[in-house]
Amino acid sequence: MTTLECLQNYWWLLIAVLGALLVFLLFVQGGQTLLMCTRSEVHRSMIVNALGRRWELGFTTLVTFGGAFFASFPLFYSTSFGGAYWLWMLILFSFILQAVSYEYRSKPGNLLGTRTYDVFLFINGLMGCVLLGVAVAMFFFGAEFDVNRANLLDAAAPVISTWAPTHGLEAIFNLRNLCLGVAVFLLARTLGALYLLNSVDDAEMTAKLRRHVTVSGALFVVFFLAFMALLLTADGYETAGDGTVKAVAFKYFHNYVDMWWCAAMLLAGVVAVLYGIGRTVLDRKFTKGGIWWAGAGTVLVVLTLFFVAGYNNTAYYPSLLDPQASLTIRNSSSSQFTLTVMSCVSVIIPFVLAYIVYCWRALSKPVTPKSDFHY
Amino acid sequence: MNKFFHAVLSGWCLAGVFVVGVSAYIMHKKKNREMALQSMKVGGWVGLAGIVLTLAFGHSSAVDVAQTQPMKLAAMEGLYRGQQGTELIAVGIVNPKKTPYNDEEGVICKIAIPKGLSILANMKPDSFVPGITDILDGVTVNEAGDTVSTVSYAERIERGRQAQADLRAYDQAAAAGDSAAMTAHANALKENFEYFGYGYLDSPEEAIPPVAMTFYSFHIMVALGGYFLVFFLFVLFCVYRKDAWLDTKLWRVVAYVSVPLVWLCSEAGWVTAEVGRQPWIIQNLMPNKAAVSEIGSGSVMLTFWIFVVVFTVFLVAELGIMAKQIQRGALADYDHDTDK
Repeated sequence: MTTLECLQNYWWLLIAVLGALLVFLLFVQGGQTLLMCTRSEVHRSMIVNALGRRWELGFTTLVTFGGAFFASFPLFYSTSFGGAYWLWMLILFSFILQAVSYEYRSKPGNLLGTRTYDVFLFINGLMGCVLLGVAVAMFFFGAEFDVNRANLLDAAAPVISTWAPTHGLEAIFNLRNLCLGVAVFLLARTLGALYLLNSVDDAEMTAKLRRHVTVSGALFVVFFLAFMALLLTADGYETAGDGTVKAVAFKYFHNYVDMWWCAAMLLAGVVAVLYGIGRTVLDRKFTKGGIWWAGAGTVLVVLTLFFVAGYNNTAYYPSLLDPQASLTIRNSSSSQFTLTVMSCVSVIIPFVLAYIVYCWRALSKPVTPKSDFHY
Repeated sequence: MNKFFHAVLSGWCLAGVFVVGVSAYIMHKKKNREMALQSMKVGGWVGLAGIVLTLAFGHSSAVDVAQTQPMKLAAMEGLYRGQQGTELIAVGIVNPKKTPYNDEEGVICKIAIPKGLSILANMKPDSFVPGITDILDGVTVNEAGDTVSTVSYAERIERGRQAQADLRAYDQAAAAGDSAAMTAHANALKENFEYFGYGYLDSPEEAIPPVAMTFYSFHIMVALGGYFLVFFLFVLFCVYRKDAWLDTKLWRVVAYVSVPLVWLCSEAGWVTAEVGRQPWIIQNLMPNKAAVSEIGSGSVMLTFWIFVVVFTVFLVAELGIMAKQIQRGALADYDHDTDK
């Protein structure tokens, strides 16, 4: 393996770690959708205040995920963000709504009223999860784009990547993509309820949250299994030594077999998620640990999804218009110089993670109906 | 780096002005005099530190601009023909009749500091600073501050086109599998690569940023920056003397008006930076027009208007929240209520 290939693998690993942490942190979004499931003002405030001390972590992880992708695989960034434009714009707007809603919702003079900001939080919770799931589903099920580097020299239209004229809307109305989108949403909602069980101290809410875990958790398992069935039977694109792309039946199934450690991680992750959900549903005394089991399992599963998307000579962004234009971690990365410099900077990541853990622990007092609400 | 600190530290200045403005309002309500004076002290010191450092880093970034983006510096000053010991314009009007090669003045009705720009850009009063026309003709200044001939823009466009032709030929050789030709074209490309982006330009004039907008925003920023230096010195002077001047109506008007002015100053700085860099998205390598995606202009406009609506609504909400909090502060009695 050349140095450049090592760097490309390393950066795909970092993207996978950020993506996995992001999906875990979507519990904030999932928790926000529970706001519409209660009429009690106090319960709503408890939900928002328990989530409020975590929302920035998810937001910054999303931004870091996008930033790392931009810097390490710029051809993906320019193809996807300039191509699936409306999909990403909808994601962006839903997160703009989130950012202000936490800060404004309970302040006097906020123009729109607490209820409106709670609706914004619900919209972010629903749209953010489903659309991010759709965006990631394109890593497996492909997208309608074409890449022609020589176009850079066409002064009249110097556009390297072109996309279907619907610019991302077509991806939303694709059932396979939506399957993952809905699965991500239901997972986030389940994790949200598990997180709240861990963070609030109120018998009435605990009972309600347990019901949410049961319903959302069961539905999530259905959609997740459907997605895994679609994934393991899907065709994928594989690159040969000379960079040409060919379609391979059951590519992702093969990837799990070829990279057996991925299959082991997947299995461990699925068991952990099911254990976290199952024990919370069945064991009335078990309220604190569910989020950690299900969260850790989520991280493991999502890591393997990124690994089978990008490693083992797989095209992680298959083009449905021209297979040869598909993006791989080899043909879409930054130069060796850029990746080397960024890799040096990446040694600060453990310190950032340590700081996040420190903040998390510092802000962990249980929320009760009598808490001093900040948000 | 200089630009980074210039922008970030200007935030201290902005925050300082805001705090002083709010404090003036709270004092206006007659109560809370001690509290307002204390908060003016904090705002004043943070703001003074901010503006002094912002001016210092602003100077350093002007030096950077002189060396790496001479065209931008020329546009900031509306300077077409430089000379040994170029003046720095304090106020003036950009002459709309001026083109690079006619005999009109670039800036009319001006008040200028002799040799100011030469000192700003090169630290040498008699050094040469090239103007827009000089740069188009290929006259500029090197890092040591000496005048040197460089490549004219007409030639840069030619060499940029040559670089692009070499890249095209390289692609064709690669498609044909001719590795000898690939090496030859790659070497040819390297020779002209530094002017690659000029190959997209239709004429040398296309490489000139909008002069009036760059000039005015730069001068508004500098004038307001100078004003805020005086403002903070004055605030701290009066606060420590507990000057009765702080109770006058004129002072309050000055403090209130300064709040929108500091935002104007910040925005003017951004306009200078981003309009002045035109037409480049990557200096010399890629102009904006080669960096576009295929999103239609209708979609871009729609996105723009969605942003305008969303952010305007949130701005009004933010102002509402701020106004409520300030009002609450003004009505409270901080000087006598120890709970607060």
